[in-house]
Amino acid sequence: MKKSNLEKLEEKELQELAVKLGISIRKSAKKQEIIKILQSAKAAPISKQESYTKNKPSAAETGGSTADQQHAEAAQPAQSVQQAVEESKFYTGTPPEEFRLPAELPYHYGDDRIVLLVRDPHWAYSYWEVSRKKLEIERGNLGKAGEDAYLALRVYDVTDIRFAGGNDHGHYDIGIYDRVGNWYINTGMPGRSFIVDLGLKTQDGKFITLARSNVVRTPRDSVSDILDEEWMIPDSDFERIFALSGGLSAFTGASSADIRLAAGGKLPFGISSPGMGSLALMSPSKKKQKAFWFVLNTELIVYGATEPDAKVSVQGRPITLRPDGTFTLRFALPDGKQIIECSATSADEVETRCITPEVIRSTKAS
Amino acid sequence: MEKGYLSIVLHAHLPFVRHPEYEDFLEEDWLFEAISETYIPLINVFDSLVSDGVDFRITMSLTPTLIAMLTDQFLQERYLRHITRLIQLSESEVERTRWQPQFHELARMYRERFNNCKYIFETKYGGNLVSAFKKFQDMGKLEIITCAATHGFLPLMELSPNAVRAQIAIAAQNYEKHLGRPPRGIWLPECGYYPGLEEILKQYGIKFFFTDSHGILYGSPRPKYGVFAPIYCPNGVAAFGRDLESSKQVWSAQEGYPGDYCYRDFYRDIGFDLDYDYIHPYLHGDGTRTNLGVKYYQITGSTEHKEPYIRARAVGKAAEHAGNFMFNREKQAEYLFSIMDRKPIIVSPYDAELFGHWWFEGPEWLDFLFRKLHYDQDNIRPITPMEYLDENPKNQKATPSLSSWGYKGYAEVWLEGSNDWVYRHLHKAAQRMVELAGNNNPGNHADGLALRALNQAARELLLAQSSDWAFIMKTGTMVQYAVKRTKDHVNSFNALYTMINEKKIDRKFLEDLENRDNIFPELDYKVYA
Repeated sequence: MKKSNLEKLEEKELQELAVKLGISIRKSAKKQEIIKILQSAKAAPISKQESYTKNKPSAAETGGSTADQQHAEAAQPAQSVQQAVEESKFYTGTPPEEFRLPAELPYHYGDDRIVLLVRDPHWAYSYWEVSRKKLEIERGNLGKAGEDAYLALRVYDVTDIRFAGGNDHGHYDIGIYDRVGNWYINTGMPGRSFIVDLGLKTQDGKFITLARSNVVRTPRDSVSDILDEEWMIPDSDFERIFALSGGLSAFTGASSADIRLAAGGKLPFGISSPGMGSLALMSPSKKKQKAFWFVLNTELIVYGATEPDAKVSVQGRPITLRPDGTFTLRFALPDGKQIIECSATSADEVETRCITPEVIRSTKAS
Repeated sequence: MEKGYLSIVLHAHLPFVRHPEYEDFLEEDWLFEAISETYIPLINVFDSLVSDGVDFRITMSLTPTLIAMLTDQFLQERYLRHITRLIQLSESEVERTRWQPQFHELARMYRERFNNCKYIFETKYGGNLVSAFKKFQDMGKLEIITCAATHGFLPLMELSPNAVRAQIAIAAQNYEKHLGRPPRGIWLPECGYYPGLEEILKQYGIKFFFTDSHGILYGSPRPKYGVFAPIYCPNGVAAFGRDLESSKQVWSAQEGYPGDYCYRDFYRDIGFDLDYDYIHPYLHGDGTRTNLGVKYYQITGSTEHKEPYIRARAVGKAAEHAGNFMFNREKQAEYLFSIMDRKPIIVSPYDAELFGHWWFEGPEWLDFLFRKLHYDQDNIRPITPMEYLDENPKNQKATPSLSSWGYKGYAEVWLEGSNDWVYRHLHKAAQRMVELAGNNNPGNHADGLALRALNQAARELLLAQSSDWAFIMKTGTMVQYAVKRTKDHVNSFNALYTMINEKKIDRKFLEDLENRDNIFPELDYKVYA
């Protein structure tokens, strides 16, 4: 992100951009400060993420590529039809109401806590809070080095080990800006376990843990290598069953890479063809995006009154009168001629009156 | 002899929306529309299949929030008010369209449908549609499964096993109360599974659940039959995987049935098309235009211009699509049977509200499908997961992989920029609820007020946990309402938490909450201990 581009934005827009990027910034931060943070954080966890410290050789090296990250970040996911249907349950056609805003939720809970959640095979999400008091004490304990120590997350690979500090497969740090905040972490490693520490890091690299997260395990994003011997079947058969499971054109076969994509739900159901009219309508928001338009319809109101106990018919059908003997009928009026025979007969069936208007509609449009 | 099985699974769910504090409330329409357009049409389809002697099998979730609303007297009365208004509207429409034969016929159709809804709802089932679904379960045609109590997305709740356990325990209790026996299966909210969840399911007697395709395919050890046979988790709970091919025929943009041009258009509604003064009496209090459920046009094509809906043609199309679906399942089963050493099961799950609400002809499609399956072929047999397990008790042991059926297959729909802020508060509230349940035992609280506050705190937490709020925040419809609900429930919870700890309970505050958020009256907060 170029600094010059950022400079063009208003302070509020920069704040919004930060929110979009998942970067927490103090409400009171000034424009230049935000730009600085955005510039340094933009590529994070790439540029801000400090180098990966490997404690011992492990499978942790595999996985985690920039390509994965770009894939996961692919802009504007196509909305799936399934999602559109689920959304339609909540669609009444009405623009959002204005509610009296409910009271805000607590900004923090006074804890020293960090939590880690799995988003998908490549990404985790962390939120944390640390009290001012705790922060001051720990800074103080660091002495002079504490003055310019900064908050950081340390992401540990703890796959298949009981983490006791120091025995991880490897770790890396991410610099952060707020004592109450959150961050999306690109672990890039499916099928591995992680813990995150929230800590204070000194300029010379010392890391003091303030809070430690729960352990999470990212899901696998491919078939398991573990084959149950007892159930072993020839690979070729498995490939075919697997291909069918993946739902790709069932009888043509497909490469395993395609299947992986399909099975991961990344490909098959996106709305990609603008030619499909019905689908363009599936998103309620699209409904509003039409060009200039003009609609005109005509309706005809026929109304009258007679004795409340009289019998009235219009075009041969009996009409119910209001208690005061009046009635109103409303018709959509198409082009052409309408002959509206109306008759009223007194209750004793002695007298009958007929009134028959004729109405012609003829429409021209240009 | 059949070569395979077909298991159609419908997930019926709506979040708990009930606002007695307002004279009328727009979001309550979610339930009313689903009743008129999906639940009653499905009941009618089941009834007609039964009366024509068509043997069918459907597995259907009724989520605890949906059951709570369908059995709530206040909402039942509001539905009757709603449908009575619609009947009036449809009567005016029959008159108004007199000179336009194509619309007139449709207006009469709506009048008949709305009258039928009222009859089915009020006269036939005494306002309680759960009893209608129970009837088909008791006949052995329908397997009703449960869901987490308030549709909380469980992979993002794993942090608090007690909170997950409460979601399942309360669901099982709710199910038994309304359906007269414990649930045997569960639809995990959003198909969200994480390894280990089966331990909690087993505690409540649940024998099977579903995952999306990759949940099974990426299971470990590698499942031999892919999604075409269930796997047993190591503790013996079975997991069935979604078949992508049959899903795609309904959901897919390119090939999906509901997008057919001659089906009814969902968005074009007289609430927007007709003269404001005319429809005004049928709108909500603030008079904002809204969908009224009378729709006269077909999808037509990609233009704004829409042609009038032709009912007979659309129903014919539904029959054609049902035939196509069956044909493809037959071919699929035949082929799988030839390469597997057992009969495959094809599991096709859908949102129930797809049928009728979104896809107006969906219930007819289901009706045709089961008739055709019954009369026209013998390659595939409709089955419920429980029947499958009875017939095929031996299955491979493997643990499914973390997954959901949301976009991209994991947690991203419910964990992204628009909604990730909720988890800090939901997790804290869950932690506090567990703490309350641990510190308070009924012996300490002879006083009924404290007990009630503890139970209500649990209700507020549960309601805040509905995945629907995060979903709505992400998709951008009715965002304010979803934010309001989340904040209201968390704030109410926090207030109760403080009152309980300070032993100063505001009776009025508590009673207001009890009256509004009256879900799960049988709930016992100790479920969090």
